[in-house]
Amino acid sequence: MVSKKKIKVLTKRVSVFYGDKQAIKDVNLEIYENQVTSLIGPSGCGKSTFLRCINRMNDTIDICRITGKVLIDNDDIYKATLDPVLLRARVGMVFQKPNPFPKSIFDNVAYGPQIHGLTNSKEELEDLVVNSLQKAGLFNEVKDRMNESGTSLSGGQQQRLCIARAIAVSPEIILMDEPCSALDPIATAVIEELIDELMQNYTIVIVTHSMQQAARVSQQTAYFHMGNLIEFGETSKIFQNPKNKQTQDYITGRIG
Amino acid sequence: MEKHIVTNYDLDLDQCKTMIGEMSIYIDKLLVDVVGLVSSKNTNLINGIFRTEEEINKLEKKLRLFTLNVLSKRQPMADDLRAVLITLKISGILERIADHLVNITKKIDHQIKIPEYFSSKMDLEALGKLVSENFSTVINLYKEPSNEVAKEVLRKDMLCNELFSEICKKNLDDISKNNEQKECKFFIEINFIAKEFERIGDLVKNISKEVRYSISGKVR
Repeated sequence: MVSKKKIKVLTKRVSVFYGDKQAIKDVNLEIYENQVTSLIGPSGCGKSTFLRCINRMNDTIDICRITGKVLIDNDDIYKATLDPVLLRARVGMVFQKPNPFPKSIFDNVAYGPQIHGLTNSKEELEDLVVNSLQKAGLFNEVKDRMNESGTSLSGGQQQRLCIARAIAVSPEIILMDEPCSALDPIATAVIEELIDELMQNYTIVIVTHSMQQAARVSQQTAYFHMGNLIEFGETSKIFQNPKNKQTQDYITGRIG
Repeated sequence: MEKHIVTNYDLDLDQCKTMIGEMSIYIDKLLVDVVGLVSSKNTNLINGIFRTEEEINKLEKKLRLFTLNVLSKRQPMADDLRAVLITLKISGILERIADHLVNITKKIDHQIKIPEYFSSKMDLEALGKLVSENFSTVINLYKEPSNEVAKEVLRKDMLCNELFSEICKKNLDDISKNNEQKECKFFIEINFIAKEFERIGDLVKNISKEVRYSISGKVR
C-alpha cells in the first residue's frame, strides 16, 4: 500500500547569494509532513544555508539575498506581509552547539511562550513547561532542579533543553543543524530516539555530517554539493543504491 | 571505481575479494578431486578431499570475522555495503558447496560393483565437469562482473538440470529393464550423487545472483 505523503515545505528554484557568491543554486525540494528529512553533503555545500531559508534565519545576514520561493503549507514565507518572528515560532530551530539562555531551566522553556503570549496564567505556563520538557525527554532528569541554570546541565541535556525550548512555542517544523555534533554517543542516541518520537507531531529537517545518523533517523535524504541539490529520495535508497555517482562517491567516502 | 579517501578501506575491500578467491581455489581443487573420485573411484583422493574441506571451513570462519570487522569499522554504504554483504553470503555458499562435495565423497561405496548395464556413467561425469566449469565461470563473474557472463552461468545451470533429469531417467530405465534388486543400492547412490551435483549447480547460480545484486542494487 502506498501512503500519500503531504508536502509541508516546498522550495521552488531557491537560490541564495552572499554578496556576489552564490551559495545555493535553484533548489527544488519537497519536505514531507511528519517525516524526518536529512540534508547531507560536504562542508560548504550549502545545506545549513538551505536549512536557514526555511525559517528566514538568513534575513539576519546583511549581504544575504534569496530568490525563488519557499512555501509552507502552500503559503509563501517570503511575502512582505509575513512576520519573520511569528514564522520562527512555527519553525523552531536547534543549533549545532547547545545554546541555553543564562537563565533557569524553567525560564529557558518558559521564555518563548511568554513573549508570544501563549499562556494566560502561571499554572498554564507551568503545565506548558513541564509538557515541553517531557516531550524533549528531559523532565525526569530536571524536575527537582527547575530553578538551576540551564548552563549547569550536561551537553546532551542542554541540547534537549533547547529542543524543549523550541517545542514550547508549538512549532510545526523543527530545523536541526548538526544537533549531535558536540555530543557523546550516548547523548546522541538519546537525541536520535527523541527525533523518532517528535516525528509523530512535527516535521523535522536535520543537517548532519554523519551518514549513519542520517540513515538511522530520516525517511528522506537530500544530498547537496557546491550549492546544488544532487539527489533527493528515500533514505534507504540513497544509502543503499544511490542513482547519482556524486552521491555514491560522497556517501562511500570517495570524495571530501 | 575511484579510490577511497582512506587507503586502508580500499585494502579491506580488496582483501574481501582475495579471500573469496582463496576459497574458490580450494573449491576448484575439491571439484576436480570429487569428479575424479566419481569417475575413477580412486580412493587415494579421499583424505585430500577431507583436508581441503577443513581448509575451506577455516577460511570461511576467517572471512566471516574479517567482514564483520569491516562492517563495524568502516560502516560501508551503497556499493561498498553490497560488496561486503555479498562477500559474506558467497563465503557461506562456498562453504555449502564444499559440504555437498564431501557428501558425495561419503556416499560413494567403494565396495559396490558397477553393473555392466549402468548407462548414465558418462552423464554423471559430464554433470560433475559441467558444474565444475560453471563454478569457474561464476568466480570469473565475481572478479569481473558482466551481464554476458551472468547469462552464461544461467545457461550452464539449465544444462546441469537437464543432465540431472537425464541421469534420473536413465537410472530408472536401467533398474526397470534389468530388474536386479541387488543393484538398487548402487542406483540410489548414483541418484544421490547426481542430486548433490545438481544442488551445487544451484548454489553456483546463487553466487551469480549475488553478483548481479551487487551490481544493480536490486533484490530480484
